[in-house]
Amino acid sequence: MSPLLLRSSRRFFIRHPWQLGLTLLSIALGTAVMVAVDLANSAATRSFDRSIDVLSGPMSHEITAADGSIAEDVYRTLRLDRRLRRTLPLVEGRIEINGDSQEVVGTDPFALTGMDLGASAPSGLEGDTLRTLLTEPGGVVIPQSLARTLGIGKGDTLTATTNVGTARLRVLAITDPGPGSWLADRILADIATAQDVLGKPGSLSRIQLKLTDAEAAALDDSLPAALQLEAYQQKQATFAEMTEAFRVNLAAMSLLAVLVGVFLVYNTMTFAALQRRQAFAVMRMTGASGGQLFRLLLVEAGALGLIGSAIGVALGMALGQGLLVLVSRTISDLYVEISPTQIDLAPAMVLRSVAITLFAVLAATLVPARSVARAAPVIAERRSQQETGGRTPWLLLSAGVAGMLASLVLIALSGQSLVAGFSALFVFVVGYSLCIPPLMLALLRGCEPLPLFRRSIGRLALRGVQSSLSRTGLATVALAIAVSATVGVGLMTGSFRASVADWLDTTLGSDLYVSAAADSQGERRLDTAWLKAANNVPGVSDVSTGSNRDLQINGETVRALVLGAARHSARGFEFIGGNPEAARQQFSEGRALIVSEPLSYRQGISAGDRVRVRSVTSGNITLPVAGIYRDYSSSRGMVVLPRLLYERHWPDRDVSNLGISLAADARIDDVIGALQALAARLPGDAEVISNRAIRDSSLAIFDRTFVITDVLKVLVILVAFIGVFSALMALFLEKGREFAVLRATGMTPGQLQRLVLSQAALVGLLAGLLSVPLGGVLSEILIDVINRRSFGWTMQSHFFPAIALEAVLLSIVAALLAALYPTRRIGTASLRDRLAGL
Amino acid sequence: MRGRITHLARLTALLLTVLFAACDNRTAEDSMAVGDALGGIAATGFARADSPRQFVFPGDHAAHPDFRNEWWYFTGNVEAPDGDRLGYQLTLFRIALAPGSPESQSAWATHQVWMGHVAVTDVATADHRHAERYARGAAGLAGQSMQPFRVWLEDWQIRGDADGSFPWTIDVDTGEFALQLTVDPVREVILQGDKGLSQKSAAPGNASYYYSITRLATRGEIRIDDSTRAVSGMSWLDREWSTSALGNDQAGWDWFSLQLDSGEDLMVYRLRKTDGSTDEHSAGAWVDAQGVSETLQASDFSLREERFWTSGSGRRYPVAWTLETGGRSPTLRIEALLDDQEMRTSVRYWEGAVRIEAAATGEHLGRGYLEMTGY
Amino acid sequence: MDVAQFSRGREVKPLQHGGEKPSTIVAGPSRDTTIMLIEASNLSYAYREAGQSHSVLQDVSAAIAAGERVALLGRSGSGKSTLLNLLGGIDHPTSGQVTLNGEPMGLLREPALTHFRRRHIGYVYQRFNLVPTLTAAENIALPLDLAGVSRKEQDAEVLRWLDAVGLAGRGNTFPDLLSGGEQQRVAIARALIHRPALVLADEPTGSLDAQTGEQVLELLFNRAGDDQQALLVVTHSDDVAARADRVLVLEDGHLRNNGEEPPA
Repeated sequence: MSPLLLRSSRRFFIRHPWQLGLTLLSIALGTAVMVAVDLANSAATRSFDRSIDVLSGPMSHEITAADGSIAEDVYRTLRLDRRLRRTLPLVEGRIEINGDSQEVVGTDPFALTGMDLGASAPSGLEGDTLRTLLTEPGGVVIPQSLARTLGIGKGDTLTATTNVGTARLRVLAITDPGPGSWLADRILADIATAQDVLGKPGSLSRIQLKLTDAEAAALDDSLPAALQLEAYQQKQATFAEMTEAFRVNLAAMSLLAVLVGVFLVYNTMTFAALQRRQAFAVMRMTGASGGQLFRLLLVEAGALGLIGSAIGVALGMALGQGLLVLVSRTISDLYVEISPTQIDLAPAMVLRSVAITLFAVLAATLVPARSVARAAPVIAERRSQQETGGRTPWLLLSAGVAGMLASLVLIALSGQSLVAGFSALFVFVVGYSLCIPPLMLALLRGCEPLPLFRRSIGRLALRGVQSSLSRTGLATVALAIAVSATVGVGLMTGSFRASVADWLDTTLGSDLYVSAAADSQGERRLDTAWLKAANNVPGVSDVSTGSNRDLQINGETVRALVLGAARHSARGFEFIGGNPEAARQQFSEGRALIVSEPLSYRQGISAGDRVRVRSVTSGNITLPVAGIYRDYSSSRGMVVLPRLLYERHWPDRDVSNLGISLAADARIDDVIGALQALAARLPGDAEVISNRAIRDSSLAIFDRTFVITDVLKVLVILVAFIGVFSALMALFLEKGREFAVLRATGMTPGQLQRLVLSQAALVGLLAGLLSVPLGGVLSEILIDVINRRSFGWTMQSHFFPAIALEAVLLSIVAALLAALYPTRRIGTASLRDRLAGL
Repeated sequence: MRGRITHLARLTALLLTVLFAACDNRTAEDSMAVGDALGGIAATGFARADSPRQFVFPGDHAAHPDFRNEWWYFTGNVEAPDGDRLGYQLTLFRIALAPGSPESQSAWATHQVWMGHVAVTDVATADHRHAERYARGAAGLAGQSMQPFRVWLEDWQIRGDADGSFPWTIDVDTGEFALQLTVDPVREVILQGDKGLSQKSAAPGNASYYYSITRLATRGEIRIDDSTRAVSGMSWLDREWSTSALGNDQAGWDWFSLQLDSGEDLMVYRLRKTDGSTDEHSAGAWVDAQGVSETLQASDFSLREERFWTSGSGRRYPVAWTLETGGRSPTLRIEALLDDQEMRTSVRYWEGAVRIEAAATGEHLGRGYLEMTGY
Repeated sequence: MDVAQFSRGREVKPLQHGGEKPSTIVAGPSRDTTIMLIEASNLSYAYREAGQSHSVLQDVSAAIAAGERVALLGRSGSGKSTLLNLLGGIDHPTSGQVTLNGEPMGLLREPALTHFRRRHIGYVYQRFNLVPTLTAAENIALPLDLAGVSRKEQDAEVLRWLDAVGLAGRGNTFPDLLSGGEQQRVAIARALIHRPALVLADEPTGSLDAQTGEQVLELLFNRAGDDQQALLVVTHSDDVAARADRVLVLEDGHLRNNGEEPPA
């Protein structure tokens, strides 16, 4: 590459600092959003993996019980009869110290001997401590952090409130384990002490094992039905799989920012090429080849891409920390509890983001670079062909329509693939965006006869926009895409929220709910006296029961609700397809279970199928499916069993909540009062909640889930805004001479500013108007393709005119704001300087 | 006073070795240094062996949990049908971490901890294997019971019938090797020391209750890796319980259990002081062909090292000896059947099968076991 | 066939023998000794706009010998610039062909055409001659830079040419700080620095005042003459035409005079 050409490029961008800065900023923002989402996604996954690592230590599997309690004999059988020596019994629970809940883990330290633990051996079990753990009543080892919080040291005594009263604990040692080390970052006790303190004699919370695959397979086959063996690796894989849809959605959203960025780069580079068309012609005539200029533009784009993405990575790190909080919160709300950790910038991630950015920037530059290379080396005063070219709009239009059609075909052919769904979404966006410039031209032509555009400034504005379409067109496309994304996402969340609200109204069939608080084992059990007592409360007309269980359905652990003893148990379900009446009938009679929509979608279950279920009493059984019902409570899916059916195959009779219907003449506050009095009287903690409160808190969680979407939406708009700003500014600054002529012809600075602002408003208006149809289609794709494929949910789509209006306004405001600075510059520019440039 | 230094002292010294040389004794398998937990337990509150008692059998084969330490200690020399010689050792140690039992609802609560050491020596292939285990004496993981008679540490066990009478079976599988042996005494129980009270020092109560069965006919199978062989031969059982400790000036000992082809059995040990000299409390026992035993004092025998072997850890063990028995037998030359019979357990020591020859003629006189600690 | 070749009879050493020439191409007093540097035969040029064909040049033939200085006169829109572009290999004729040293340019495609221009042609235009983001010296150096000449050689040549066009010391000035005349002088230096066989100038004095124009013309004609370069100047100034060895006049896309001697 000729050094002089490079030098001239560098000087060009230095002489146009606004253009340079804004281009870099839009590239940087695109990269930043991508990096931030990437960081937040991977940190969230890592945080879960780490929590599993902390839990598993060097072990590979764990045995748990359906009801949370494993008979301790199981452990002896494993160790003595099955000769599985790498096994560890754990008794876990929570106690309260000074009002704060703390986790206690009890184990048999001698079980750890003989295992090749290496570096993962838990600290705090040496010498005297090991002995006194067994001999000292209430002896515990506590982590340094807790010791510091409580201000206690070795040898001190603590009083803890437990499930079964109070316990005096004696601090035998304080460990300083690294963050996330196995066992030792909780309160550690001997297993006997833990059983005593937590009130769990005879039972274990879990048994950890280190197994080979063959051992695991053999053990799994012979394990009692009430117990399940799970590999930690499987848990991590399940989490990754479970949250994949959510993470893919975020990643796609971040790619949208990149896509908008691509349009801006395309715009910038096209504009930068147009600005230099004479210089390029001189270069061509001086002997520069088209190929040289082509490469020159790519080098420019590459440099911009590199610098921009470097800034973007830095920005993304800052942004990622913020997003992580939102991502973690959403995952905790929707899936499993995770705590946000540090983000960690992996070199591979940086490389990937930079590579995607560079690729996008270079791809966006190909077209302008090619047109520069192909242009005849003529110093022309005329505009480039593309502004007046007659064939281009039709070409764009047909390419665009082809793209949109291709997208629809892709959707039709791609089954359940989420990635294909997003690809189709992007293809559609690109297709539509190709149609935007010709559509704008048509709209502008259509505007000409309007009275507003007959007078001089109006006509000038209209003509100005028309003539500068090749320069503002792409910024407008970027703005339109960004705005349509807000429309699409807005319509989708709006529809989603409305569907959820409808569903809540249907599902929350009872007026009040009594729900057991989780005990120290995380189990929710209502005292057995509750059912009768609640029925006797005046004003209560009907009481149904519900229990939450985890069941293995077709080999997959799925949440199950056991519902019983109400006259209208199946009333609260909206069945999808099939025969709802028959489904209700079968369910009420306890003959079949029902499956939620996401589970049915994922496992391909339909009404009338049978599912394999692992039961405690009857071992492996198959149960018929009465119907598929609408459910938004779990994207993993769940099943509902009538209590009659459940009790046939499972021994436990626990109830975790009651649904209470009121008599017509009952006063809700009185009934709440009576139930709360019951809650105070009966053992265990229980909460009385109205269906209104559940509805509100559910919607609050829903809204919280979409906060991150809003944040990303704002970022996409920001990228687009910067694009429009830079495009308009460059345009108006370039038009300085034309404006000077207008001024010289008698136009006042005010009139000129009005002209510029009305041009900007026109651009904004057009972008806004054109974004609405795209937004509508996007929301349909999001609802029917993306959400369905991500979560298995179907929902009614709604159109909210307010969102469309908001989008048009947003677009106009963005364009006007973007025009403010250039307008000011025009107003203050000296006429003499401008004309001197002629 | 006979047999002042006993097997009980061996364990105590093992534990002391751990305490004094902690780093050296931590192996990869035992990063938690369980040994630390088992040493230095105060004697206060435990029962003491302070006067002779009435031994009752098979009742006394059971555990005596009021005492701090106790063990069932088998060694034996056996032969495969093809004439290959093998040796084995199985010891189940019971250690009480504190006197009494804890107050607890939990089945896991206990003060009793069990340690097991097991080893086999295959002379023909010069192969010595060993393993170590710990378990708490609760929740059915380890313990001793009478209905039926059982001493077990997880799946390692010694089992007899309901009242504890012989024969017993030894069933140990480490994965790598396994012992499945039936042992049946051909000699009566020998009460060591003063009718089974084995005084360790002048201090009252610093003694153990100690009995031995010096010959048990042994038959069964020994598996090493995938090769299982039928074996038969003779074992030796030591039983001891106490709450005693070893003096601080004692470094270790060399202990011999010898079965002579002529029908006599001989047990001697030399206690080494930290300055290298022989402690005056070294002692032994001579059992004649009729099974009548006689306690030996330090002055009744003399031992001399003849050849040394250095282990990978740098420990230099004397693996060949001459033993003078005060005219009770010819001068004996005792030599390891295999030099490397080091027990690389959380406490390191040497325990292995030996052959006995006449020092003068080289004539084969018998078989035995040798234990050397504190090197 | 309308072939024209005029010369004041100066002895011109041909750059290269172009093989056997059809006798019809070469005419005039020096036909046996003068080898034409560039020849245009039967050039026609038309462009289409809004479905209508607009003819710019019709059946134009002309030739210039090495070292010859030719003025091309004509009114605005007569097709002067188009003819210049065709001769310079910037644009392709609708029909007819241009040969340089007997080699038909119509057969050349990019990038051969670029290499051809880089080696053999120098341009001076009326305006926008310079790359605004390069200094005067850098503008002058551009052809050498593109031809891969070393930096050191470039610097030496550029200094020489800055001096030659009277701009010594102003090499680091950007074009927007140079006067129109100065800009044209830089353009002339750049057009000549790589010693092209043919220099094409499109109204080089068109936007300059008379005195400055005079200086620029002086420079152009003298410098081009120094190196025996052929010069074709598009102009509607009689002063320019007076300096030329020969004058061609374009009228509505036709060559009117087929090359008269300039007015004395």
